Amino acid sequence: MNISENTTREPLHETADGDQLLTFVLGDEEYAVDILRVQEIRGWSAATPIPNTPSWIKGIINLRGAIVPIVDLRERFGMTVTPYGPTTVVIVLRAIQGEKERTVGVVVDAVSDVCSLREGAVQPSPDFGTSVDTGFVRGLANLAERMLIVLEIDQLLDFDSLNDISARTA
Amino acid sequence: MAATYTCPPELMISKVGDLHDRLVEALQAEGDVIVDASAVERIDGAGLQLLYAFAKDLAKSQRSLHLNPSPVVRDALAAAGLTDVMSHTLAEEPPS
Amino acid sequence: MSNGLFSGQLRNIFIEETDDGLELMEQGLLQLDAGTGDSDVVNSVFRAAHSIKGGGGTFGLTPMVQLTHHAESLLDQIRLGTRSWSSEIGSALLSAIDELRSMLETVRNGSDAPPQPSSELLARLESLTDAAFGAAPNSEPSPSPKVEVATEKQFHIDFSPHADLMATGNDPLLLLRELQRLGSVHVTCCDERLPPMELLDPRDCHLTWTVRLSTISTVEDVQEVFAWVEDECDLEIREEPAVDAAPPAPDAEAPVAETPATAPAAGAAPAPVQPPKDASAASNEPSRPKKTSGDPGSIRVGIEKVDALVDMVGELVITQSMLSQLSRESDASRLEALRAGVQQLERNTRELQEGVMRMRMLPIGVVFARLPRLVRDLGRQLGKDVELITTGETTELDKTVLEKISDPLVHLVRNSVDHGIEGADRRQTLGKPARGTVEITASHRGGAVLIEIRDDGGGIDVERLRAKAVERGLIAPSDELERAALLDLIFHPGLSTAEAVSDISGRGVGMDVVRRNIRELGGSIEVNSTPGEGTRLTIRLPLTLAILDGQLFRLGAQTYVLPLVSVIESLVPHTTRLSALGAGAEVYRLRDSFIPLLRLSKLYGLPGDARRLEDGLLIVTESPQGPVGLFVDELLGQQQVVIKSMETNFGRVDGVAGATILGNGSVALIADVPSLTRLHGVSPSRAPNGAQHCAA
Repeated sequence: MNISENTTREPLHETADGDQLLTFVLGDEEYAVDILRVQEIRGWSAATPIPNTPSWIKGIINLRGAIVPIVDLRERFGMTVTPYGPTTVVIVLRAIQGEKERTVGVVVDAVSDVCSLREGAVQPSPDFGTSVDTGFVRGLANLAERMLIVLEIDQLLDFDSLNDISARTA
Repeated sequence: MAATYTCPPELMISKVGDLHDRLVEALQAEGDVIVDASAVERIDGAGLQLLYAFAKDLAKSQRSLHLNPSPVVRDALAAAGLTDVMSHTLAEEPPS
Repeated sequence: MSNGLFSGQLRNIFIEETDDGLELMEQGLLQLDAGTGDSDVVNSVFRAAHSIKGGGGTFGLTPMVQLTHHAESLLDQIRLGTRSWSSEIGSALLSAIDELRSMLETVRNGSDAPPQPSSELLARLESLTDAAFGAAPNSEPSPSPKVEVATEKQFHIDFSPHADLMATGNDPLLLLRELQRLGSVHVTCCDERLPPMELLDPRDCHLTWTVRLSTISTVEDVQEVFAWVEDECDLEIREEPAVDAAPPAPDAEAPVAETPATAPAAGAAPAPVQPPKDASAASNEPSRPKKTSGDPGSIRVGIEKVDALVDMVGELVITQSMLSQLSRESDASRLEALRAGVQQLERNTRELQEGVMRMRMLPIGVVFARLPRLVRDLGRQLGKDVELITTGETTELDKTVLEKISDPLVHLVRNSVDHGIEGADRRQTLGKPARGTVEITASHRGGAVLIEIRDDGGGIDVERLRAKAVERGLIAPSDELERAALLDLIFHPGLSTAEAVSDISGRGVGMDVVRRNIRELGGSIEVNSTPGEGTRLTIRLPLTLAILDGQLFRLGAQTYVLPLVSVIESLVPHTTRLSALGAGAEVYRLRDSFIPLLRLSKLYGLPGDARRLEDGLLIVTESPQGPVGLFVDELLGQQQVVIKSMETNFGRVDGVAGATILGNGSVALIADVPSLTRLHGVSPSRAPNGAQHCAA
């Protein structure tokens, strides 16, 4: 993949300290999130639907007494929906928006591994023109022939701009 | 040569038992005593009573006590009307 | 004493007590200003100032000491009768309190050097203190309190703790310090009963004290110091003969605590203490405020401890409901004992939970307290004569709800004074009394707290409101809105701006924020107004935040919860009683009246099972707009649920008050009827015109 240089770009995004990412699979692509934002990984359990929300918000679950919303990333990114099964995985993430910290679970196809990237390895992404809103993408990383789409969790899981989001998704 | 006994920062009813045991031992020894209360941040009636009881008993055997009080202890002694009776323990120079 | 954990804690205590003291002073000064104070009030204000001065001195907070000293001097003159009260004095002292509060705020934020008092205020206080005796010049004579001379008294106190006094959690040192705060003391300690060290149990108290106290306090004040330890000591309080003591009948309500076992050492039998004759024996007004640390009726507990308990009880409720569920599902007869045990657990848990929730409850009077001052100051500023009447101060609410409702209430009362009440002249032309009235009342209604703010001002000009709304494009000129809907516009952000306000004779800035804050508490606010006569705002708030008695119901595959208190009845509905009003609105004929029918599956956008009305169930519930019927699939059981917020990790959801975890571990949503009715668009129920029968 050819990533062209563009001098009007914003400065290179750097990975967080620790430089470790958890990678997971959605369809044909591999995504990555900052490992420090990962709280735990669980299997899927039925969620209680929330009224009048887009279908990619599956509902809320009881996580050891806390009410945690679950989001389907495939649906969120406009991919075809697959039924959930015993191998369906939920990654529970911590998102930080301003002073507010949220715990949100995301449904993914499978978790791959944890990898380390050296600083500066994340390049800004070109405009895909796909349904993945590039506001959620921190950048792209190349790791031994794998291309990882590094997600910006805080933006992705910002429910406050729900109205905007549901207008933008296909 | 004076033996030194250090008071804990909390000289309250929950902690007096331990200091009491040590001071009782001190009574059975010889020589002057320094009770270092400079680190005491909280003291109650039980703590004051203990210090006073020890001072009283030590005085009977003509051994001298030097009490090194923190401001909190000074204040508490005054509030309890014990400053005068303890004044001899609050003299400036500790025994060597 | 400026470092170390201890001084930190002492500081916090000083800050809290000064807070209390300032509030006490303010209340007292307002009473004196209104002419309802007396010498007791003056004394208590003076004492409070004295305490604050002393505390400020201990911590080296010189500006506070200086200002308090000035206030104290003035108060001293008042209480000694050498100067009579005037409204100028009241204003100056109230200003002093404001400055002291700001200084305290900086201390609270860590400063050791609060700002200096304003030289203008000091000059004011000085000139009032130094003015020629008698009424200060240029002041309006306001009703002066019946101030009589209060003398300094001497008390002789013999305090002999029993051996177990300290073991029961009391501390003679603290008691002695309390006495110190009442005036000047001379303390003598007696060690007669002190055993030698080897025999001494250091947890027993063997010291006794004699205290000579010079104070202007009453004997009740002195007794109050020892209220906690009455049973754990021998106490004798004697008043030494004072100059003025005439012998009125001894006050039967204030006996001197006499020593039963040990006869007093002094020869003369202690004379019964004469209560000073100017202390109103008739009134039951306590001469110390309820909140000082000597009060046996309360203790200070950190709020985080209470919250931790609340959380624990919440978890306990969940566990208990899980067990209840299991026991219900098991049918082996030998589990009968288990069931009985679980029922007992339910009872215990409920009691514990009620007790804990009560700990978090505070009387709304705490919030009402700042209002009289506000109304007085604002009224004067605007040149209006306004009186604030408060009722229901003892109505209790959860502390957090209380904290969050405080600012909105202040805002609404300000609005009433500012925009509601007319100027005196205008009122007179209208035949109204020159003094305007704002009334705020609080009461419990069902599972909620009702707060009403009423004024007898000019009301809201609905037509101007409508005109403004059209001008701002909020409604179309041709829109026909009911009066209630028009009035509701005052909450609209578009009309709530300062710019809008200057043109409307209605409510002021920030009504949308007020309403949002109230809704976030799970409450609601409505407005009602009669032109020329006044305006009424009605606020409903939930009693507690955390636990709810719930009626469970099923819609589709999901279980939901409805607050039991709002459920009126439930019934199987019949299609023949259903009528459509057009635009999707349906009403149901319930006996003699019509109630709106809300199809939850439609409102929630989530599937329900029932197709025909007869396949489902109608739950009739209360709403701010009157009874409504919720159409659901099935009624399930009733149980207590712990309310969990959706907002922590998600956000507010219309129609939902929160979520809860059921006994089987699944999450159920808690339906919020007021916001459901808003979603639906319900107006106050009335008979439909030209209704048609709805096809099945």
